[in-house]
Amino acid sequence: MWDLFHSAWEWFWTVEWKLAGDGSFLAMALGFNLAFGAWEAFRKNLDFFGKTTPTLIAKALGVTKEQAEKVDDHHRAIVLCKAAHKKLVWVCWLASVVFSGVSVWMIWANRFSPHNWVLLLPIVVYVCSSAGLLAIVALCCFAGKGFVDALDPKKQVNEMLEKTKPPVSKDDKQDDDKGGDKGGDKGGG
Amino acid sequence: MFCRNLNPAVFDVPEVVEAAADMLKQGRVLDIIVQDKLPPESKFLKRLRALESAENIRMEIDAEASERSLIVGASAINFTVMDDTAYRFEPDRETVKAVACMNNSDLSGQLLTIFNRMRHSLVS
Repeated sequence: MWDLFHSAWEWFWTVEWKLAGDGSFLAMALGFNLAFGAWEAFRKNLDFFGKTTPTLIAKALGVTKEQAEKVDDHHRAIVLCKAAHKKLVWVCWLASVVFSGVSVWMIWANRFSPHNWVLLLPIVVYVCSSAGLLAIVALCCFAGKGFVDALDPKKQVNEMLEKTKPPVSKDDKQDDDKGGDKGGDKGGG
Repeated sequence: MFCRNLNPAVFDVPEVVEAAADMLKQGRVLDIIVQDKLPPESKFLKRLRALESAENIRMEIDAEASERSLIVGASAINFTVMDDTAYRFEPDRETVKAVACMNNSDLSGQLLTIFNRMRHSLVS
């Protein structure tokens, strides 16, 4: 029984360390990270390298791109709040790629032996860093969303809409019930 | 624009004055509801009124509107709607902090609705 267990144990470590030892497993993880990042960049963050930033400000403020680059920080921060949120997520992704790379390098450099438990450290580092970064990304997403939501005056504007709502007369109500004019004053001049 | 008194700290800034003047020169309409009296030394108003006499522009200012409408009198916010998507909203005018967004058609439309309701509530 013990021999069987010992053989299985040796086989497991041989295969496991071979995979880990040549870095293929973690290289896959790194590759996935890069592919994911490239896809996301293509899909929704084409402005990551600043392509849209001056354009966005210029459009927002009705100025030229040259003028947009000179907008003061306070206004820039407001205009670019949502863009900044996106970039924060990207910084976390970049950090995760770096961590993955470091893990691959550590495994590559150490050439594991199945009897050297200390060399489990790279795996532990990789797992912990990935989980930690995932948590950081999640936290940043929530914090970023909260930040954006805090700036969004939707609730206050809705309250004002309610306060300024004109009283509905009986005639108007009957019209509404019959499917009359529902456009109200929305979008008026 | 809806505000309490065309606060010079905000409206007399040269960039704001010139932006408003440029806007009028481009043939756009400027509608302002001011709750209180207009400031007598407003650079903003002087510049726009000078323009008004010189060129064919469209500008309408409803001053002391609080006295003519309960809705207007009870409003403690400032806001500006620039077009179909852009707005500036000051939820608490005492703190003089505003949110500006240039790409939110929903809120721009809602603020415009509020402005129109305020205008319709004014008793001439």
